[in-house]
Amino acid sequence: MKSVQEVSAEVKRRSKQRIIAKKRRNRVMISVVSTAACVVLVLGALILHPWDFISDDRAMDNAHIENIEGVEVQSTTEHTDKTDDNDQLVKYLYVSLEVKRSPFADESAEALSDLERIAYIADTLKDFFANDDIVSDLASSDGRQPIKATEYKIIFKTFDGEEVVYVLSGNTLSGGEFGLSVTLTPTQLQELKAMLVI
Amino acid sequence: MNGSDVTLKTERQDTMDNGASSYRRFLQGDESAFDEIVKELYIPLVFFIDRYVHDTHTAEDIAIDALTDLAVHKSRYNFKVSLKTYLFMIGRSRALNHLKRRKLITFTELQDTMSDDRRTLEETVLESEIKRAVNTALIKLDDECRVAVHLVYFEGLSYKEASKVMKKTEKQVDNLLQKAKAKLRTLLGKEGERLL
Repeated sequence: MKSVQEVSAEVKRRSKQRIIAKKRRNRVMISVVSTAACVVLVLGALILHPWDFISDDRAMDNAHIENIEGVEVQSTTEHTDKTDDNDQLVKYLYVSLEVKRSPFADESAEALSDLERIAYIADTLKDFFANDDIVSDLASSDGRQPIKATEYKIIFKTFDGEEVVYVLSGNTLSGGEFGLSVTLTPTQLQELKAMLVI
Repeated sequence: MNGSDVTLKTERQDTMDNGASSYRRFLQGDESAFDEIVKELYIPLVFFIDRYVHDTHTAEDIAIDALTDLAVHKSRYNFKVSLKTYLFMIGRSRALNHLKRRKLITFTELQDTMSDDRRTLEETVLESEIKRAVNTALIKLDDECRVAVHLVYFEGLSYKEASKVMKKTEKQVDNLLQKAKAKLRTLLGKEGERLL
């Protein structure tokens, strides 16, 4: 039979062992649970909002525009004397932009992709229409408030002087040298309309 | 009141509440209080566990494990039952787990004779000749009757406490004791029944 001292010492030794084992178990459990939670969160996010990661917005934001030095607005005119098939007045907004190529641009990047163009147009128009005077001029050029239109035409010049025309009809942006046709998301449409003061 | 009176009073209190006050002091950080619990409850616990495992060394190991449980899981004991009852409950549970595991591995019995350790244990716990006679007769009883007699007559637990340890109702414990008495009457005669 063990003495009281021996038993107490043995209890203390086993207690220490168990506490260490418990701590180790807890650490493993925490790492397992946190890893599982991360995996669940990532999978959940991918399942619920797959396009948040590779959306058009993000793609536009990441458009390769380092080959462009700047864009100049050459002229802006509007015509409100045409009607569409439903006899609604159509406002055509002609924005002529000149895209200047960066002197450091890669030779192979002469032609910008349509996506890059749209990204750059969006940025440039935003700056352009942020100027209150121009907006004011556009709005009151013929003494009237801007007419609600259903179709817009956007024309801009590339750095080599070529004119590229885009048409915004409903939520579809089409045209360009490659016959682009993009259905804009509500957010993109709203942004573009805000830029065009629609 | 001098120092020795205080010590005597504390010891008497601990004996009365089966170590609960020592455990309270242990929870407050008094490490020596645990030694008092070991001193008071270790041997009865080993003796009780030995009823299940029939091996003193194993019983000692399980008893140390039960005491370790008490030292590590400090919030589990809620003081609603006596510490002795609680410790015996842990001991029983661990002993049954041990028996379950042992069934998977068959051991060869090396000797059937009573070991020196068991003799020492019985001599320590069973102070009187009469108790030893009863203890010898208990071998003839079935396991549950033996445990019920052990808890109530050797350890002095109430029917309620014994029922908690054995996970039975008080009525079932009473029935087991009646059955044990009848058996002991035949084994020990009128004298044996009178002892209980």
